Amino acid sequence: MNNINTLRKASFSDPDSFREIDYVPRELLDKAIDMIGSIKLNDNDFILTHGDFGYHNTLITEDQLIKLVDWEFAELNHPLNDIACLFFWIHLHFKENAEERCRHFINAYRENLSVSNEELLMPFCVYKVLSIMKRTLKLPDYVKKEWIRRLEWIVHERFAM
Amino acid sequence: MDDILEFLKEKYNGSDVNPLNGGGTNRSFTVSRNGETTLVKVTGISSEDIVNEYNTLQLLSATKISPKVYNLFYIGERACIEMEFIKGKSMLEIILLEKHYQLFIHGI
Repeated sequence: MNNINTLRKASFSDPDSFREIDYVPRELLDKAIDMIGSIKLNDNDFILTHGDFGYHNTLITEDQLIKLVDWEFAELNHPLNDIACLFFWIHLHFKENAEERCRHFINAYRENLSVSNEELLMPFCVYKVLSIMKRTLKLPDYVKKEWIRRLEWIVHERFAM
Repeated sequence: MDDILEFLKEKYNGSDVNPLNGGGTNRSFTVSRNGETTLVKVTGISSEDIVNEYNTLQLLSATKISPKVYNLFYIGERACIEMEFIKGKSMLEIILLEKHYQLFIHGI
């Protein structure tokens, strides 16, 4: 049986590791890495996070149970890692009512858990996008172009919590 | 010829092995035998991510929130995991169905 030491840990303590994403314009990458550099956490802030949390990886079974699938990006991280991920996808896919959808989610979340370090939501969104971009290095140019567009958008965006 | 599919058919000899559509950068297959179906996920980009998923699912095995994981193996350098096949709808499908339903209702 594996133990918690086998889990991956968040890599924002080494933001320069994102410099391997060499297809991003330098100025944009610098800005994104600067934002990630603002994430400072204590060891006891870390929990197991899904890493690609969202409606696309949430299944409702025939018995009406909720299951989370696709744990490839799981890592020990702050809960904002998953919250930021969900906010990112909602704002990307549902522009017309993204704020309302996010508000519903976060209100329900707060009924069970508090959220610390809320001011770090956007740096976590940028962290999420760069983490995905690290996996796009061998993908076709049109995919890279789309992720540059998304990064450009997210470094200038401000989501409300 | 699809080498991965052939490999899986040989490994699961006597089972019905079928590719699944979708699934992002990885490839997924259902393996069915005697009415039982499991899912095999094969690395598309990063074996490290697939091994990470295997480790995480093992840790979560006592919970009911994630699929059960059965096996980690390799096809060449590609990591593969065999896990519970969960029948269900993703929330994305449900949200999109609801959105189309609303458009349909308001469109009338």
